[in-house]
Amino acid sequence: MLFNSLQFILFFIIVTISYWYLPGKYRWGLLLGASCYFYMAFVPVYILILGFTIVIDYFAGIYLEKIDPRYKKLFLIISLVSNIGILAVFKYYNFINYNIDFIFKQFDSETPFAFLKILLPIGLSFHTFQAMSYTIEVYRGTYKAEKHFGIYALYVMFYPQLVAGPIERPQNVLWQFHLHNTYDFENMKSGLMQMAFGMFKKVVIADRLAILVDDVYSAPGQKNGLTVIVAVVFYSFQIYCDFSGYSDIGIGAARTMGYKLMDNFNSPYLSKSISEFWSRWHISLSTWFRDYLYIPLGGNRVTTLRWYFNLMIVFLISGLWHGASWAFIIWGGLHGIYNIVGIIKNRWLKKRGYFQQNLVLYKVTNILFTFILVTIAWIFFRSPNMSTVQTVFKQVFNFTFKDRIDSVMNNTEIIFSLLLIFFLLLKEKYIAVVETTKTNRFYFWFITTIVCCYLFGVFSNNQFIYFQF
Amino acid sequence: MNFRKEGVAATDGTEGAVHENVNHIKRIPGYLAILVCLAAYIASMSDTLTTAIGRFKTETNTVLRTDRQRYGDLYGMSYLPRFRKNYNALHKVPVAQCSGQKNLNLFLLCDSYLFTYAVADSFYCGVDNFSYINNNGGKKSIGGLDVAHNNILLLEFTERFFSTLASDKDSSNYLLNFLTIDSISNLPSKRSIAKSTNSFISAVKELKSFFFKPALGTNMEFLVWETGLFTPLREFKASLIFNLFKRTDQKVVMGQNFDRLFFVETVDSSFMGSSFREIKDIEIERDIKNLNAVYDHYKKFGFTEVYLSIIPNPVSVFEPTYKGMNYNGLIPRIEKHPNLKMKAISVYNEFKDAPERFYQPSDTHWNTEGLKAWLEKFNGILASYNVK
Repeated sequence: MLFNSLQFILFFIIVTISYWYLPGKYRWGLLLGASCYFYMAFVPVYILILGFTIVIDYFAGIYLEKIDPRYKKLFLIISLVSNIGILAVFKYYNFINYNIDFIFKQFDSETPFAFLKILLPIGLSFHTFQAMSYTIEVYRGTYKAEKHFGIYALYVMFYPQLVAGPIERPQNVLWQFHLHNTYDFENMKSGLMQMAFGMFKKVVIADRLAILVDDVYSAPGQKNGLTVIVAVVFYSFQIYCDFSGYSDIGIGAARTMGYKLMDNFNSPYLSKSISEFWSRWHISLSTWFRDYLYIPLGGNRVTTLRWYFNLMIVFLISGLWHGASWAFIIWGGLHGIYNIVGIIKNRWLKKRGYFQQNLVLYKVTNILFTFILVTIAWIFFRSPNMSTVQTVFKQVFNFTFKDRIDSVMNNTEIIFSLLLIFFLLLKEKYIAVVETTKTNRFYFWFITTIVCCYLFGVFSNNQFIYFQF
Repeated sequence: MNFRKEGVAATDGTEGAVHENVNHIKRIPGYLAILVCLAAYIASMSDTLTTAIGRFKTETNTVLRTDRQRYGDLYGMSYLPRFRKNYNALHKVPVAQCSGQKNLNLFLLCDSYLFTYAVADSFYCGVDNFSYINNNGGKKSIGGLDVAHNNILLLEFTERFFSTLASDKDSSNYLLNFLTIDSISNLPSKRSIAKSTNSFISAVKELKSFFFKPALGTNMEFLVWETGLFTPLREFKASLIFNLFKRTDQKVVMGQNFDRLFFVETVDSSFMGSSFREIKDIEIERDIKNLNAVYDHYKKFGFTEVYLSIIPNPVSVFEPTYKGMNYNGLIPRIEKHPNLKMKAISVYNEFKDAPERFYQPSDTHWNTEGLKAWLEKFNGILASYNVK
């Protein structure tokens, strides 16, 4: 069920009103049932996979708490292996097999393993990571094992963040499911406003930019340099609005029921460095990797070389998390290199006393430079294969000042799209959250946003990009 | 942001929730909203209800009517008010005026060009027994052919569908298997016997297909959103976007003079059914080979004759050089191919000479004149069997 569909709007109305009308003790049941339905609306049978990991992790959590400390690791490993095993089979098996096949083909043979014809369960990487964070926290003793099976299942399956995050932690959200929230109109207003703006980002900005982006990426060789550059820049904003729009709708939907989920984005394109970008982009994933991979590897409290190694490992795995292809690994690797080069550059500048962060020009240059680096990396992320990557770069370098935009969009639509981006950046810079405490103001902005979504939205059943992960 | 988490952890299961404090009367709008949304869900899940509501919305003259087909199917996709013209609907197609005995069994494999409008023996000359199936995957088993009559089989396709079908191996197999003899096809297979014993699995499947119907979203949008009440809003949006960005619905393409609409799949050369997709000679040869195999198969089956009719995509005859692209000439290349065994019922030339006579500006289908022209041609052939 897509957030930008009528089906979801009706579902949301039913669930949210029923939630507030039900006695508190039954609400977890309503939310769990609704979340199951929400998930099954994609491919019903995959609920069994989710159910399997939930059962394993639930019991692993309980035993991790009870069992002799000497065997704790064993239960943690059982839980992690079952989670990662499912991820490996559904997401990485064919990728690994393709690579084995490639090696065999060098010797005029082919892979002895069969390729699987299976669909990737939607949002698998998201809920797997969320489930893993629970067992790790219980193992570490920072969170008590959840005894209520239904509440634990709801923690993994809570529909607003089930298929594309934010990837929550038990200490942020699990305990909230035990509360019997009281109705708060302020939460309702701010939740609805966040949902409306998320919808605006998705259907008005992301899906409109996608018109040009999809056209160019389907045959980049047939477009001139300027058109390809515009598409590459548009994609940076498309993916941001698509993903942060989803997060906004999810976080807003949770808030209307009184739940607070973690923020997932914080104006990432206003970052002055790549490391800052990663503290503002997909925050729930980057902090997951920080807490459960980077720090256990030693973080930055090791030798410099080992630190760089740790960074590279984290970013390469982050790339692989996104998708089973070399393009994603390169994308992750590129960000790893950006980070390391950034660290070296900062150290070099500091040594020579050139570090003057307060200069406006310095800030603007850094923001632009960071944006360009991120945008270059997105080419790997968006391209369906490496030959498209090559063509895109070739066309970008073929740019001449004589080029005119050759696209399915007319000039008015391109200018409109640029204005939307400008408006988005302005809003991010100056209005982090739309104020909703004054009810009249809330109604004005809410209705205006919904009307704009309808009038300027592109409704073409476009999936959210991050659903595939 | 005032985020309150002042609810209390449950102890006796009664405190903390708003349900105790809210007046039930105040809840009535909420209950109504839940009821309406649930009703929309249930109606969209049920095929029977969806069909019944669909029929009601098509026939009613209230604001609940749907305008989706009212002014042509392409209008219903784009909602551009400039195409909201009196639609020359296909309601008054005359019955065939023929003399002589009824000595034909006619079997049609057809698409919406015919099955929406002309599926009764009264439209066809000398037809005693008439049957048809939708070529969009439909299959039929019959009790055998009546050899005392002439048995005529007509394969009718719209150009875009033929182009897609001919290029697909499974579809060619479909053409060989859409018609079977009862005595073979009615024998219960081992698989179906096994199925009947496992009623639990079939019940689960039925539940799944009810609650998670793939068309649920589409049905819901039709039921909730497709009413005359919302038409002005949809038209306003369509006009705004068209005037600003020269863009319509993604399934629709505007003619070069902005005077008619085409279905995108017939124009965009990346679609198999496009009139502008390059078709190499080798592909035409393969199509002819496949069609001849189908011809031989049904001749062996007992049909007196097998006819082929491909109705042109509107863009093929209106704008064969759309935006610098050239029509791939699929219809003339097939119909005039020297090795084609089937006889072709061709309307390509007439339609090409005066296309505006035969098509609506806002519909993928022909209009009454188009259907009449085609029926005249086909009835001429059927009448020749009567003379015999």
